[in-house]
Amino acid sequence: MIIRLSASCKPERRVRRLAVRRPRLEWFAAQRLEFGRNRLVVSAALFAIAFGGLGIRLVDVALFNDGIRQHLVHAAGAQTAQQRAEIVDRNGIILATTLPTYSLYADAKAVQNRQAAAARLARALPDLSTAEIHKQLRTNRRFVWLQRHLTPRQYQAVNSLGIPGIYMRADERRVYPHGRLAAHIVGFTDVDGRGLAGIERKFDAMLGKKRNAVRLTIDVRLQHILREEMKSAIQRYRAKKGSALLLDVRSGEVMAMVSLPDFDPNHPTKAPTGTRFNMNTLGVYEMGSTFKILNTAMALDAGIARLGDRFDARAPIRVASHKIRDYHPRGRWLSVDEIFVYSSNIGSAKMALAAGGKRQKAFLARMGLLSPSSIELPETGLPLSPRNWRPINTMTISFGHGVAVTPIQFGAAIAATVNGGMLHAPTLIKRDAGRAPEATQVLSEDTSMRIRYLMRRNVIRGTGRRAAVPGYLVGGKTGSADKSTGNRKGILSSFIGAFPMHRPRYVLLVMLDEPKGNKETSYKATGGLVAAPTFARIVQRAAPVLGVRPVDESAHDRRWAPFKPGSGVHRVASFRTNGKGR
Amino acid sequence: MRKRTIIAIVLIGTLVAGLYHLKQQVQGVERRLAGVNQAIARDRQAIHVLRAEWAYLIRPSRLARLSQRHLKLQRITPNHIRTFDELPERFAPAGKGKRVGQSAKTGAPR
Repeated sequence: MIIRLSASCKPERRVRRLAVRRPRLEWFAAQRLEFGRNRLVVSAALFAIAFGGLGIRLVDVALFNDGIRQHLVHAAGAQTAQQRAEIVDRNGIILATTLPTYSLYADAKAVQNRQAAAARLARALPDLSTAEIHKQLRTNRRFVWLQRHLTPRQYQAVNSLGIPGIYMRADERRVYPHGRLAAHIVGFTDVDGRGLAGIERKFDAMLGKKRNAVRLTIDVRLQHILREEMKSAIQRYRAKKGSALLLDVRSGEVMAMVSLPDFDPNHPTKAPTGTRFNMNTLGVYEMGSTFKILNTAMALDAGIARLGDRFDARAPIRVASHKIRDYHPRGRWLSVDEIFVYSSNIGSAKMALAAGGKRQKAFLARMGLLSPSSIELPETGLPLSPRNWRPINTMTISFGHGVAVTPIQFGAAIAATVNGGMLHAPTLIKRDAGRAPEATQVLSEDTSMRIRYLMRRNVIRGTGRRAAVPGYLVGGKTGSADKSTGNRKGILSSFIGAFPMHRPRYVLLVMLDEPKGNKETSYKATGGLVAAPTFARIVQRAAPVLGVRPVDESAHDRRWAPFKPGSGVHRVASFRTNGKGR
Repeated sequence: MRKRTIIAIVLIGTLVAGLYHLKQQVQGVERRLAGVNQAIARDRQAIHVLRAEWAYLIRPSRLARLSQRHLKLQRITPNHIRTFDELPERFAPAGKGKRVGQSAKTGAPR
């Protein structure tokens, strides 16, 4: 606009001036005018560029404003405070979460009548006494916590008191809606939300940073079944402690795991001593006769013995001051399957000697029983094994004395013996769908098949009869280990089994520490009398939850027929070629 | 020239009025956005708390207690579970056969 105006009126003016002024001056004025005009043009151009730029930006913002809109959309998300991530079970049910609360603090200097204030506060807060509050207020500090995490009712009560110098601060608190149900697995945090035990501790940094929940492999329904049945078994047999562990044999996932007595992770400081101890992962135990599953698997897999081969079990073995004897002595030569079903210590020891200590040690190491388990819990026990692996150790280890292992690693090893020989590291963290579980082949499929047969046979007609559940093809082995610690006589009764035996899906280990027999069990408390029935109760309730369909047992049991070793060693060859048992 | 000046003034006036109006509107919308964002945050927090409460209410022990009190359900045994193969064959759809067939279908334990 400016340019056009000057262009239209200047020529006339210039003509008039030229007519009046002298030539020299005229020339001078013309110079000046030219100069001024140039300045105008330049500044006008600059303005035009600047306004043009603004115009372009205006169009850009108005029409193509993706960037800005994005920013506005995200504003809502950014407002929620960063909280510690949740822990959920395999079905997404919350096991641990963080809730907003209020915490009470005082500016002690600002409180006027401290005695009166303390008394009024104590009335609103039943957990604190007047003396305690008064002591805090006397410190004269500008900031003292009085109580963390008030309940809504306490918040209301304190707020309505309106004492100057007493303030609230928004806080958050870790809450475990299921309480004791998975206390040993989930663990707990301190008052500031730092993980002190269990998953909370193992994944402390991740839970603090990540937004999405940590998904565990356990199922609260199964936890409940195991816990309830173990609780009633402990009561029924007046046991000191008890634990149960349910593993998926195809992935190593821990489906449920309980250790009793337990504690409430919402109030970990109030837990009685010993209740925080997780028997399944922290405790190491000499498992007793259930170890014979491994001893037999070792002998079969190494080709030391076949099912029909016999060992001399006529008389107890004496080594130095030790005496190895059978609880149900048969006084004759026993075949490998008889040794298993009658749970013969003598026969097992002879079988282990035939294999040799070196092979036994290597085998147990291969099954992951000589080093700590890799389970995702900080409370992991260190297995105990003899420093010098002498023949006497080899013999006692064959029936589960002399090597102490954690139930979790033992369960994983047994899972490998029944699932076709694949050892999975037991895990509590649910894998992303589609990721195949890692595993190592530790036994041949053939050996595994024979172990399945032996475990099933033991439940049909051996020491594990009370573990049978119609329809679910249970197989397993009993264990009653003498506890070596202390002078009191106590046993650790256990049962480990798998189901359904024709195609195992789950392994369940039940342990009762120092149970006492009752009238029902003729006052005995062996694994077969106390742990096996508990096992059966759990399987009966858990199988429908696990989606294991009941089958016609007799039809499946007939398929084991080719395994029956008969009387002579020569019969062994007949099942070597037969793979139909699966 | 006067005409042009007047046009320019009117134009500027309109633009200023328009801009003012727009700015007012934007401020209003922004205030609303802040409100909505706050409401979202509040609702999220509420959902979060309610989810925790839900987890507390569906404790298996509580459900077992409630089911015992209010439902006449037995504990499931292997006998309660049947497959489709085990169901009797459907009757031929002749005459009253249709009714029989339906009852067999709906009466089957699932």
